[in-house]
Amino acid sequence: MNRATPPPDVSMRPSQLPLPEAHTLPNGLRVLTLPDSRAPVVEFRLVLPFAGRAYDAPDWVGLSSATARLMIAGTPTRTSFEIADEADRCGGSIGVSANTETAILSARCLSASLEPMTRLMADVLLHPTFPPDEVEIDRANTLQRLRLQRSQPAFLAEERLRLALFGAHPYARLAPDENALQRWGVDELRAFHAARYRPAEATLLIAGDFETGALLALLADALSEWQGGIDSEPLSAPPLQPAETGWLLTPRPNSVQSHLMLGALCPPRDAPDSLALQLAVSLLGAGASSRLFLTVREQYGYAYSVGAHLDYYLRIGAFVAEAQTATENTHDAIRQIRAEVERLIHDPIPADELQATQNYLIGRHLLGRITLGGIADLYKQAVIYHLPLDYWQRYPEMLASLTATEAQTAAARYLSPEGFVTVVVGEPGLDSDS
Amino acid sequence: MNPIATTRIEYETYTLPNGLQVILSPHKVAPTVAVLVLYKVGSVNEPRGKTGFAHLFEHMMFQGSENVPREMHFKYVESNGGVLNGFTSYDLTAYFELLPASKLPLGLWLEADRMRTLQVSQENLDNQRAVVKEERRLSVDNQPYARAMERLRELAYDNFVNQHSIIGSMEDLDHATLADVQAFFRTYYAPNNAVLVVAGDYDPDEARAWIEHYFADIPSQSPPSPVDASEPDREERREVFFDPLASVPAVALTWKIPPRGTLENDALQIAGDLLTDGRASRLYQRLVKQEQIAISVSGGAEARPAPSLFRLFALHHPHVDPTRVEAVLYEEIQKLAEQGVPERELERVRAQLLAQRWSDNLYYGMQSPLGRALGLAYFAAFEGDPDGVNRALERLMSITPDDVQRAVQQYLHTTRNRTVMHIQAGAMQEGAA
Repeated sequence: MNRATPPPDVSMRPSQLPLPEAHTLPNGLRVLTLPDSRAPVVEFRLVLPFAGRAYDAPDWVGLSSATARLMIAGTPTRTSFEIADEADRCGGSIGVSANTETAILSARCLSASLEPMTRLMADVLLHPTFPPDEVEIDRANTLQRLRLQRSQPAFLAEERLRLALFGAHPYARLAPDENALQRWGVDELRAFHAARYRPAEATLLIAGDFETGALLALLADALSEWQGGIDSEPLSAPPLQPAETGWLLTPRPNSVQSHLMLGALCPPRDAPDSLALQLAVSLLGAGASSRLFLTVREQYGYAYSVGAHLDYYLRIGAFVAEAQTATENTHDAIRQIRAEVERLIHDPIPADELQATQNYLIGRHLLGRITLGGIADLYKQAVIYHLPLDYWQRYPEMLASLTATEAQTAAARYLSPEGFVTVVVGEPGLDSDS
Repeated sequence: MNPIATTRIEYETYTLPNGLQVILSPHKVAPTVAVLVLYKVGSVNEPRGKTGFAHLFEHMMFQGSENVPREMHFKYVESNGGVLNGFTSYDLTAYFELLPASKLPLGLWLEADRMRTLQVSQENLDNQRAVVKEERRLSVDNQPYARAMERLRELAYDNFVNQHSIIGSMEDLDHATLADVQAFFRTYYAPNNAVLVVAGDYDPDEARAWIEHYFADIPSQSPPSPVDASEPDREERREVFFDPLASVPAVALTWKIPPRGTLENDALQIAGDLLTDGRASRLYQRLVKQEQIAISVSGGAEARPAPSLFRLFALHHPHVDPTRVEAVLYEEIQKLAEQGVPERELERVRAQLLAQRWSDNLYYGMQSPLGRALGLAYFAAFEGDPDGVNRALERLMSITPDDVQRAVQQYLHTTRNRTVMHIQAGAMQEGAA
């Protein structure tokens, strides 16, 4: 053996991802179980598909997030302190968050505390009281947190990008409306919860160290009074054309860097060429051997962090290339990012580079399966995006079978730099170069 | 079963003749392996005029070695389905690859090649200097509170080696030369100043053979001279910091406390959890819920192998006087010092300690081979024995109410070694728009 060349290559061992078992509780709740005793821990993910920001009424934007945050603020038998204290004692945590479309209750505990944690979760889910004093504290603190977020370039950029991509469509919503924030009270929170936290369309995913039969019996008992479905129109898809394109500056006084986000729209995750596009975008901007990293950072030194990725919503996808660069390099960095996109669209992708990207994505996916929380989150994605449950089992094979032409065709179809949204958060007065 | 016993991390350790400590910790849960090399060098080793150099040097370790040209380190790892990174701390610099199990030899080859030789050019150095300056802008100069935190550390400590930031100053970064890079490499990147850990799904006999082949004849160097990181006692220090990027005001407090591996540091870890860990913690309950003066409170005890800081940071409502926030923080510390802590409250903290141990975080949780590797490496490097990773949990779980009360009395319920900063929010108007 010599030391001048890398050791002989040995291919990756395949690893089998276990498939969850699907059950339906008497109240209609779909339960997916993945018993796995690699750690004495249980992970819960409850996906509520119609309780996210997109389902806020237009004059109540942010109510969904407040409802989610305040789910752990009290029940008839527990104060907010008692909920937090009990979750801690279970060696765990519990919280609810509202996302673009869904609300998700996430909980975890040591397996020895499975029963108390399940009872706590059921109480929080079924009986939130939204105590008036807690609502006031949340209102005041949310306003300050919003100020804090709007002092951070990454948040300002994300907020502006969404507005440009989606205009009046609810996918544009990120922060609460400050006017609505002043108005909601216990009645609105209770009404949102009553209407949208229902079992019939929801899925509860549980991964970890438990015995399935006993757990299902416990759930059926703890959640027995949770009933009903949601009478909700599904959300319409936004247009595939951004509401605004071109140079969009969000002035941020005293900035020493420009936070750049270049965006475009693409079809949703279940579209036929979605995986080919993911492959192309990863080759462009995922990881330290991606084209953007090697040019914008390693060749030009314009940025510490640079990359590209796809953000998926249920009805659409968004391409985002992102970097932070010194104010004086703003235009040069944007030019280099656009040049790399042009190269991706126009020049054939070398076979070895394609293979390397496929290996990277497959390997990174396998790393996501190391922990119980990682496995739970994979299946959570499948539930949120309506993917078949065996999607992640087939993912490595589907990815490996894609060709360079398929990747390039998908990129050329959706990533045209002339149609990009160019969000810049930085020095007031920075002008478009063109 | 005893819940602590199940958290034991099994391992074996040996030292190569060149001084490299090797720790093998096979653990067959997922077909993945972590290769970690920890070098006992960090920002504490930087003299005046060279701040930020240990971290800039970390970047140079990805820029080329004898058989691995520039860019190829990234490409070898990622094209084989792995992820990689490095990080620099006050007291250590670490490099890791997390790879599919069958790729272990590749990770060992890459780490050995750059422990043996570093082949970098002026052009590489200039490029990475520019990248690190962008990193400084991204993580410090363009972020609210970050410059305040950098300044807080300068105030909190009295010894230069502890005072300066890891990222360093723009001016010092400008002065780094290629000769500095080579000298630093020779002094600190020697096998006898490093710990190699392999954790995950692999055969330990095969791993031993690869390690022998790649690492055994890397020459050792004379050990670097030890750094004097000691800190004098002093009286309270205060400053008002105007942050033009911040939109919400804050109060930050620190106290100098004993290093890791001491009963006092352990007890202050527990005190930190009692005060700030989660929504059931004392400071969250008092400042956010009861008094409604703060938006959030965070903090706790650092565990450096040198005099460490106990830190508290409260973002507060703009209409509240920061001295009021400060007074309430002191009241809670006084309560802990005078009345101690009920056993039942400690039980909550212990349940969380166990939970953290099983966390699914790839960097510190025991479910991850990298988490296991880092735990073993820290204790090997800082406390001289990798088994510390197992004993530390037992040690923390057996901290008593008396231990906590005594440590709080001695180190927190005092103006001695205390630093107070009020951060004024300069962007309040724009932020509210």
